[in-house]
Amino acid sequence: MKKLVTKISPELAKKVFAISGQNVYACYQCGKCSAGCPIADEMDLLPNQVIHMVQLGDERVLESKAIWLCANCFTCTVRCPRDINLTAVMEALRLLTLRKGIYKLDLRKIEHVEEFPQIALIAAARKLTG
Amino acid sequence: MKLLYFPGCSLKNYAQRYEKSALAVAKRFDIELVELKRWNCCGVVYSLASDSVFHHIAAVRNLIRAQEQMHETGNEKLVTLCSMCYQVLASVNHRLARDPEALETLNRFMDEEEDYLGTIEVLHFLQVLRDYIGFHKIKESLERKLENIRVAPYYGCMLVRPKEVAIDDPEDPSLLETLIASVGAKPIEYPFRTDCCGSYNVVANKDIVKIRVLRIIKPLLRNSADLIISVCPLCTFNLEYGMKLASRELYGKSIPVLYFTELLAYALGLDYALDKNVLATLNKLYEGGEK
Repeated sequence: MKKLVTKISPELAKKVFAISGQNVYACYQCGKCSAGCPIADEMDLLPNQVIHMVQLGDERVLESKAIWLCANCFTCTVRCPRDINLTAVMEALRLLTLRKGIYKLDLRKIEHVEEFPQIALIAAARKLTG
Repeated sequence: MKLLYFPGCSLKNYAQRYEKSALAVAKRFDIELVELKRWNCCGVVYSLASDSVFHHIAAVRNLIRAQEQMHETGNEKLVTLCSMCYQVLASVNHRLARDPEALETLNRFMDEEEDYLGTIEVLHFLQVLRDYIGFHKIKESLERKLENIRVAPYYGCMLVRPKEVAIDDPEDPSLLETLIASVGAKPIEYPFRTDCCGSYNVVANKDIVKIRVLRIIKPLLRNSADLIISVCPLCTFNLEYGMKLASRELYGKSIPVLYFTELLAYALGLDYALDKNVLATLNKLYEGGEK
């Protein structure tokens, strides 16, 4: 992330609210979501940074890897002291891309597809494609 | 007692062991799990978009199938084994109970099916063990007391989160520990029993699963766990797959992953319902423990 956002815009937060019903402005950045996230170590943005960017209206969050690595384990959601369903916020951010028909998984190009049980393939297809 | 049963894809393919052992355990306690005559994929992952109900259609169809067949059991309960199926069906049910507009939209979409009334109760088999059979009853019915077997309970995510559909405390569950203790075995304490296995990342980012599994398994090796018991076909796959990916980091060591129903079936002497390799693993541990 190169440049700082100089102009704060509520547009992204409005879109997230429309899809997920979650109000990101309730978040006071305590960081509990990032502390508990089992995949945070592998993310380019910590979960609390993802939500911060949405608060600021920084659309570059949509280009992050973090939102695609989130495996919907709901750890952040059960721990959030502000009762924000961050898992649903992550889903809303993914849907902003997926609903344009841009997918993050090409089902024809999965390596060793025969190794995986259908439960893994269908779950991945549901979360990473339209 | 009869209860309707929704298997889901894994139980008929990758996780047949899970179904076979669970049906045998239920039968042992006079519970007949009646498989739905017609069922389809549950959707695997619950859609979190509150502006759309499109992704709930598959789950609702299954709930309607249960509604159509509930006269056979005389109750409105639907039992699942796969924890992902449980979470999807229970979450969709939870949403529709609170969102009459969504229920109406979905009902309007169904052509051949009757309307879903929203009254089916989705249960996981662990709840059946706890609430309809009782752990004391299991204790009284043991054919083998599995003393000295050290068992790590692995809950994963879907049965304990989110709160709305959790069957146990999201931060400090105890169902599996109680189950392990009721067959006489020793439940192992470790920090990652409700941590995510990496889930569907295994398809596109398998290194995530490797990292997750290393984290979960390492304290278990140090604590000399004999077995891990799982509630989920995807957790089971990922734990086994992850241990293979990380075999160098784990110095070639691994821990067998069983479904909780297999441990239970073994303790109850239901060997006929166990996979050959699973039976061999358990026999070895049991006989080793007797010395």
